[in-house]
Amino acid sequence: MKVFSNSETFDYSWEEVSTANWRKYCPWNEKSTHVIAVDTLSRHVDAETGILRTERLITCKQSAPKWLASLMGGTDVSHVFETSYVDPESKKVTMVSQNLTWSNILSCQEKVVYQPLSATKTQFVQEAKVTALCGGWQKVKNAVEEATVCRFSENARLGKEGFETVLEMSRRVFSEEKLKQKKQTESVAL
Amino acid sequence: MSASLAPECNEVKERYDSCFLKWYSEKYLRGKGTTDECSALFKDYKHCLTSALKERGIDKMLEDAREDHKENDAANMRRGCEYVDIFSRLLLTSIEQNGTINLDSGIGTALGGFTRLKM
Repeated sequence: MKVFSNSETFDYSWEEVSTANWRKYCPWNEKSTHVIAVDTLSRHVDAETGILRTERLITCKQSAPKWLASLMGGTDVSHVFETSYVDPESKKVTMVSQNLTWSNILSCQEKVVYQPLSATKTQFVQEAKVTALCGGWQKVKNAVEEATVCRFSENARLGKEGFETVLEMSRRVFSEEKLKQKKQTESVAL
Repeated sequence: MSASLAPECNEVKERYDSCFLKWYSEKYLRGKGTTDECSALFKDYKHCLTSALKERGIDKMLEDAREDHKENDAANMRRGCEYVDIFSRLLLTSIEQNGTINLDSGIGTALGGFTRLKM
Protein backbone atom coordinates (compact mmCIF):
# COMPACT_ATOMS: atom_id res chain seq x y z
CA MET A 1 0.00 0.00 0.00
CA LYS A 2 1.15 3.51 -0.76
CA VAL A 3 -0.20 6.70 0.73
CA PHE A 4 -0.44 10.01 -1.03
CA SER A 5 -1.27 13.11 0.99
CA ASN A 6 -1.57 16.73 0.12
CA SER A 7 -2.91 19.90 1.67
CA GLU A 8 -3.73 23.26 0.14
CA THR A 9 -5.11 26.57 1.33
CA PHE A 10 -7.63 28.49 -0.73
CA ASP A 11 -8.10 32.22 -0.15
CA TYR A 12 -11.87 31.94 -0.17
CA SER A 13 -14.45 31.44 2.57
CA TRP A 14 -15.62 27.93 3.38
CA GLU A 15 -19.08 28.80 2.02
CA GLU A 16 -17.58 29.82 -1.34
CA VAL A 17 -15.32 26.79 -1.55
CA SER A 18 -18.01 24.30 -0.56
CA THR A 19 -20.38 25.79 -3.16
CA ALA A 20 -17.81 25.90 -5.96
CA ASN A 21 -16.79 22.36 -5.07
CA TRP A 22 -20.05 21.13 -6.64
CA ARG A 23 -18.89 22.45 -9.96
CA LYS A 24 -15.22 21.74 -9.64
CA TYR A 25 -15.29 19.76 -12.88
CA CYS A 26 -17.26 22.20 -15.01
CA PRO A 27 -15.95 23.70 -18.28
CA TRP A 28 -14.39 26.59 -16.29
CA ASN A 29 -11.86 24.08 -15.07
CA GLU A 30 -9.51 23.66 -17.99
CA LYS A 31 -6.98 21.65 -16.02
CA SER A 32 -8.95 18.63 -14.83
CA THR A 33 -9.97 17.48 -18.30
CA HIS A 34 -9.56 13.84 -17.29
CA VAL A 35 -12.97 14.11 -15.58
CA ILE A 36 -15.53 13.83 -18.38
CA ALA A 37 -18.76 13.44 -16.40
CA VAL A 38 -20.13 13.87 -12.88
CA ASP A 39 -23.52 12.37 -12.05
CA THR A 40 -25.48 12.62 -8.83
CA LEU A 41 -26.88 9.26 -7.75
CA SER A 42 -28.62 10.16 -4.52
CA ARG A 43 -28.90 13.10 -2.17
CA HIS A 44 -30.65 13.81 1.10
CA VAL A 45 -30.50 15.95 4.22
CA ASP A 46 -30.38 13.94 7.44
CA ALA A 47 -33.31 15.09 9.56
CA GLU A 48 -31.46 14.59 12.82
CA THR A 49 -28.07 16.14 12.12
CA GLY A 50 -28.80 18.41 9.13
CA ILE A 51 -25.91 16.79 7.28
CA LEU A 52 -26.25 16.72 3.49
CA ARG A 53 -25.25 13.30 2.13
CA THR A 54 -24.58 12.92 -1.59
CA GLU A 55 -23.53 9.98 -3.75
CA ARG A 56 -21.90 10.77 -7.08
CA LEU A 57 -20.49 8.82 -9.97
CA ILE A 58 -17.42 10.40 -11.52
CA THR A 59 -16.35 9.31 -14.99
CA CYS A 60 -12.73 9.79 -16.03
CA LYS A 61 -10.88 9.28 -19.23
CA GLN A 62 -7.16 9.36 -19.03
CA SER A 63 -4.18 7.90 -20.69
CA ALA A 64 -2.53 5.57 -18.22
CA PRO A 65 1.01 4.47 -19.05
CA LYS A 66 0.79 1.86 -21.85
CA TRP A 67 2.01 -1.09 -19.80
CA LEU A 68 -0.46 -0.25 -17.03
CA ALA A 69 -3.35 0.19 -19.48
CA SER A 70 -2.74 -3.23 -21.00
CA LEU A 71 -2.65 -4.72 -17.51
CA MET A 72 -6.00 -3.08 -16.83
CA GLY A 73 -7.63 -4.51 -19.92
CA GLY A 74 -7.11 -1.72 -22.39
CA THR A 75 -9.96 0.60 -21.44
CA ASP A 76 -9.25 4.25 -20.75
CA VAL A 77 -12.64 5.17 -19.25
CA SER A 78 -12.97 4.59 -15.54
CA HIS A 79 -15.55 5.27 -12.85
CA VAL A 80 -15.20 6.49 -9.30
CA PHE A 81 -17.88 6.30 -6.61
CA GLU A 82 -17.93 9.19 -4.17
CA THR A 83 -19.93 9.77 -0.99
CA SER A 84 -19.81 13.24 0.51
CA TYR A 85 -21.02 14.77 3.74
CA VAL A 86 -21.59 18.47 4.32
CA ASP A 87 -22.04 19.58 7.90
CA PRO A 88 -23.05 23.25 7.73
CA GLU A 89 -22.98 23.65 11.48
CA SER A 90 -19.40 22.59 12.06
CA LYS A 91 -18.48 23.82 8.55
CA LYS A 92 -16.96 20.66 7.26
CA VAL A 93 -17.10 18.92 3.91
CA THR A 94 -15.87 15.31 3.82
CA MET A 95 -15.64 13.39 0.54
CA VAL A 96 -14.75 9.72 0.39
CA SER A 97 -14.17 8.00 -2.93
CA GLN A 98 -13.30 4.62 -4.32
CA ASN A 99 -12.52 3.34 -7.81
CA LEU A 100 -15.19 1.14 -9.41
CA THR A 101 -13.24 0.18 -12.48
CA TRP A 102 -10.32 -2.24 -12.16
CA SER A 103 -11.31 -2.70 -8.51
CA ASN A 104 -10.26 -6.35 -8.68
CA ILE A 105 -6.62 -5.38 -9.27
CA LEU A 106 -6.25 -1.95 -7.76
CA SER A 107 -7.89 -0.23 -4.81
CA CYS A 108 -7.77 3.56 -4.63
CA GLN A 109 -9.40 5.13 -1.60
CA GLU A 110 -9.39 8.87 -1.31
CA LYS A 111 -10.55 11.16 1.45
CA VAL A 112 -10.84 14.91 1.08
CA VAL A 113 -11.78 17.36 3.84
CA TYR A 114 -12.53 21.07 3.45
CA GLN A 115 -12.56 23.11 6.65
CA PRO A 116 -12.30 26.84 7.34
CA LEU A 117 -8.99 28.23 8.61
CA SER A 118 -10.49 31.71 9.02
CA ALA A 119 -13.41 33.71 7.59
CA THR A 120 -11.58 34.07 4.29
CA LYS A 121 -9.37 31.00 4.13
CA THR A 122 -10.23 27.33 3.61
CA GLN A 123 -8.03 24.32 4.04
CA PHE A 124 -8.15 21.32 1.75
CA VAL A 125 -6.65 18.07 3.02
CA GLN A 126 -6.41 15.08 0.73
CA GLU A 127 -5.28 11.58 1.49
CA ALA A 128 -5.23 8.65 -0.90
CA LYS A 129 -4.42 5.02 -0.19
CA VAL A 130 -3.40 2.95 -3.17
CA THR A 131 -3.17 -0.84 -2.95
CA ALA A 132 -2.39 -3.17 -5.82
CA LEU A 133 -4.37 -6.36 -5.30
CA CYS A 134 -3.10 -8.40 -8.19
CA GLY A 135 -1.40 -11.60 -7.23
CA GLY A 136 2.14 -12.02 -8.38
CA TRP A 137 5.42 -10.30 -8.01
CA GLN A 138 5.84 -7.62 -5.43
CA LYS A 139 7.81 -5.70 -8.03
CA VAL A 140 4.77 -5.50 -10.31
CA LYS A 141 2.53 -4.46 -7.44
CA ASN A 142 4.99 -1.77 -6.44
CA ALA A 143 5.16 -0.45 -9.98
CA VAL A 144 1.35 -0.33 -10.26
CA GLU A 145 1.09 1.53 -6.94
CA GLU A 146 3.95 3.85 -7.86
CA ALA A 147 2.40 4.80 -11.20
CA THR A 148 -0.99 5.42 -9.58
CA VAL A 149 0.44 7.61 -6.82
CA CYS A 150 2.41 9.52 -9.45
CA ARG A 151 -0.80 10.19 -11.37
CA PHE A 152 -2.48 11.25 -8.13
CA SER A 153 0.10 13.90 -7.42
CA GLU A 154 -0.04 15.17 -11.00
CA ASN A 155 -3.84 15.40 -10.84
CA ALA A 156 -3.64 17.07 -7.43
CA ARG A 157 -1.45 19.86 -8.79
CA LEU A 158 -3.68 20.37 -11.82
CA GLY A 159 -6.75 20.04 -9.60
CA LYS A 160 -5.61 22.94 -7.43
CA GLU A 161 -4.93 25.16 -10.45
CA GLY A 162 -8.25 24.25 -12.08
CA PHE A 163 -10.24 24.75 -8.90
CA GLU A 164 -8.70 28.22 -8.42
CA THR A 165 -10.21 29.22 -11.79
CA VAL A 166 -13.61 27.80 -10.80
CA LEU A 167 -13.50 29.75 -7.51
CA GLU A 168 -12.59 32.97 -9.27
CA MET A 169 -15.35 32.52 -11.86
CA SER A 170 -17.89 31.60 -9.17
CA ARG A 171 -17.10 34.75 -7.21
CA ARG A 172 -17.42 36.88 -10.34
CA VAL A 173 -20.71 35.31 -11.42
CA PHE A 174 -22.06 35.56 -7.88
CA SER A 175 -21.28 39.27 -7.58
CA GLU A 176 -22.76 39.94 -11.03
CA GLU A 177 -25.90 38.07 -9.96
CA LYS A 178 -26.09 40.13 -6.78
CA LEU A 179 -25.72 43.36 -8.73
CA LYS A 180 -28.48 42.28 -11.10
CA GLN A 181 -30.79 41.49 -8.19
CA LYS A 182 -29.98 44.83 -6.57
CA LYS A 183 -30.78 46.68 -9.78
CA GLN A 184 -34.05 44.78 -10.10
CA THR A 185 -35.15 45.66 -6.56
CA GLU A 186 -34.15 49.27 -7.18
CA SER A 187 -36.19 49.50 -10.35
CA VAL A 188 -39.16 47.92 -8.58
CA ALA A 189 -38.81 50.46 -5.78
CA LEU A 190 -38.74 53.38 -8.20
CA MET B 1 -21.85 22.52 -14.96
CA SER B 2 -20.28 19.17 -15.73
CA ALA B 3 -21.80 16.75 -18.21
CA SER B 4 -23.62 13.48 -17.55
CA LEU B 5 -22.04 10.22 -18.64
CA ALA B 6 -25.21 9.73 -20.68
CA PRO B 7 -25.54 12.60 -23.19
CA GLU B 8 -29.32 12.07 -23.38
CA CYS B 9 -29.54 13.07 -19.69
CA ASN B 10 -27.58 16.31 -20.03
CA GLU B 11 -30.58 18.56 -20.30
CA VAL B 12 -32.45 17.27 -17.23
CA LYS B 13 -29.17 17.13 -15.32
CA GLU B 14 -28.39 20.77 -16.09
CA ARG B 15 -31.82 21.83 -14.81
CA TYR B 16 -31.42 19.83 -11.63
CA ASP B 17 -27.84 21.00 -10.98
CA SER B 18 -28.76 24.68 -11.31
CA CYS B 19 -31.67 24.23 -8.94
CA PHE B 20 -29.51 22.39 -6.41
CA LEU B 21 -26.70 24.93 -6.47
CA LYS B 22 -29.12 27.78 -5.87
CA TRP B 23 -30.75 25.92 -2.99
CA TYR B 24 -27.35 24.97 -1.53
CA SER B 25 -25.84 28.46 -1.55
CA GLU B 26 -28.92 30.52 -0.79
CA LYS B 27 -30.79 28.30 1.64
CA TYR B 28 -28.95 25.27 2.91
CA LEU B 29 -25.72 27.04 3.90
CA ARG B 30 -27.75 29.75 5.60
CA GLY B 31 -29.55 27.21 7.73
CA LYS B 32 -32.84 27.80 5.97
CA GLY B 33 -33.22 24.64 3.94
CA THR B 34 -33.81 21.34 5.59
CA THR B 35 -35.31 19.67 2.56
CA ASP B 36 -34.05 19.69 -0.98
CA GLU B 37 -36.54 21.70 -3.01
CA CYS B 38 -35.29 20.25 -6.28
CA SER B 39 -36.62 16.74 -5.73
CA ALA B 40 -39.06 16.89 -8.67
CA LEU B 41 -36.21 17.78 -11.04
CA PHE B 42 -34.02 15.14 -9.46
CA LYS B 43 -36.67 12.51 -10.14
CA ASP B 44 -36.59 13.31 -13.87
CA TYR B 45 -32.81 13.22 -13.96
CA LYS B 46 -32.60 10.02 -11.96
CA HIS B 47 -35.14 8.32 -14.21
CA CYS B 48 -32.95 9.07 -17.22
CA LEU B 49 -29.72 8.15 -15.46
CA THR B 50 -30.92 4.84 -14.02
CA SER B 51 -31.56 3.32 -17.43
CA ALA B 52 -28.23 4.66 -18.72
CA LEU B 53 -26.38 3.00 -15.82
CA LYS B 54 -28.17 -0.27 -16.44
CA GLU B 55 -27.32 -0.23 -20.14
CA ARG B 56 -23.66 0.25 -19.32
CA GLY B 57 -23.61 -2.32 -16.52
CA ILE B 58 -22.48 0.27 -14.00
CA ASP B 59 -25.42 -0.40 -11.66
CA LYS B 60 -23.89 -3.73 -10.61
CA MET B 61 -20.51 -2.14 -9.80
CA LEU B 62 -22.29 0.49 -7.73
CA GLU B 63 -24.06 -2.04 -5.53
CA ASP B 64 -20.75 -3.40 -4.26
CA ALA B 65 -19.22 0.04 -3.70
CA ARG B 66 -22.30 1.18 -1.75
CA GLU B 67 -21.86 -1.76 0.55
CA ASP B 68 -18.24 -0.75 1.18
CA HIS B 69 -19.16 2.85 1.82
CA LYS B 70 -21.61 2.03 4.60
CA GLU B 71 -18.88 2.18 7.20
CA ASN B 72 -18.13 5.77 6.18
CA ASP B 73 -21.63 6.75 7.20
CA ALA B 74 -20.95 5.62 10.72
CA ALA B 75 -18.05 8.06 10.95
CA ASN B 76 -19.54 10.98 9.03
CA MET B 77 -23.28 10.99 9.61
CA ARG B 78 -23.17 11.90 13.26
CA ARG B 79 -21.89 14.77 15.32
CA GLY B 80 -19.94 14.84 18.52
CA CYS B 81 -17.61 12.13 17.40
CA GLU B 82 -14.76 13.70 19.28
CA TYR B 83 -12.19 11.09 18.52
CA VAL B 84 -12.42 11.68 14.78
CA ASP B 85 -12.63 15.43 15.26
CA ILE B 86 -9.55 15.64 17.46
CA PHE B 87 -7.78 13.35 15.05
CA SER B 88 -8.49 15.50 12.00
CA ARG B 89 -7.46 18.64 13.86
CA LEU B 90 -4.18 17.04 14.90
CA LEU B 91 -3.64 16.00 11.30
CA LEU B 92 -4.31 19.53 10.06
CA THR B 93 -1.90 21.04 12.59
CA SER B 94 0.75 18.50 11.72
CA ILE B 95 0.42 19.23 8.01
CA GLU B 96 0.42 22.98 8.61
CA GLN B 97 3.60 22.83 10.64
CA ASN B 98 5.56 20.38 8.54
CA GLY B 99 3.97 20.74 5.13
CA THR B 100 3.50 16.99 5.20
CA ILE B 101 2.65 14.19 7.60
CA ASN B 102 5.68 13.22 9.60
CA LEU B 103 5.38 9.47 9.94
CA ASP B 104 7.66 9.36 12.97
CA SER B 105 5.54 11.85 14.90
CA GLY B 106 2.68 10.89 17.19
CA ILE B 107 0.14 11.69 14.53
CA GLY B 108 2.03 9.54 12.02
CA THR B 109 1.84 6.60 14.38
CA ALA B 110 -1.82 7.29 15.05
CA LEU B 111 -2.44 7.46 11.32
CA GLY B 112 -0.72 4.11 10.84
CA GLY B 113 -2.83 2.57 13.56
CA PHE B 114 -5.96 4.15 12.14
CA THR B 115 -5.18 2.83 8.68
CA ARG B 116 -4.59 -0.66 9.97
CA LEU B 117 -7.83 -0.56 11.88
CA LYS B 118 -9.71 0.42 8.77
CA MET B 119 -8.18 -2.20 6.49
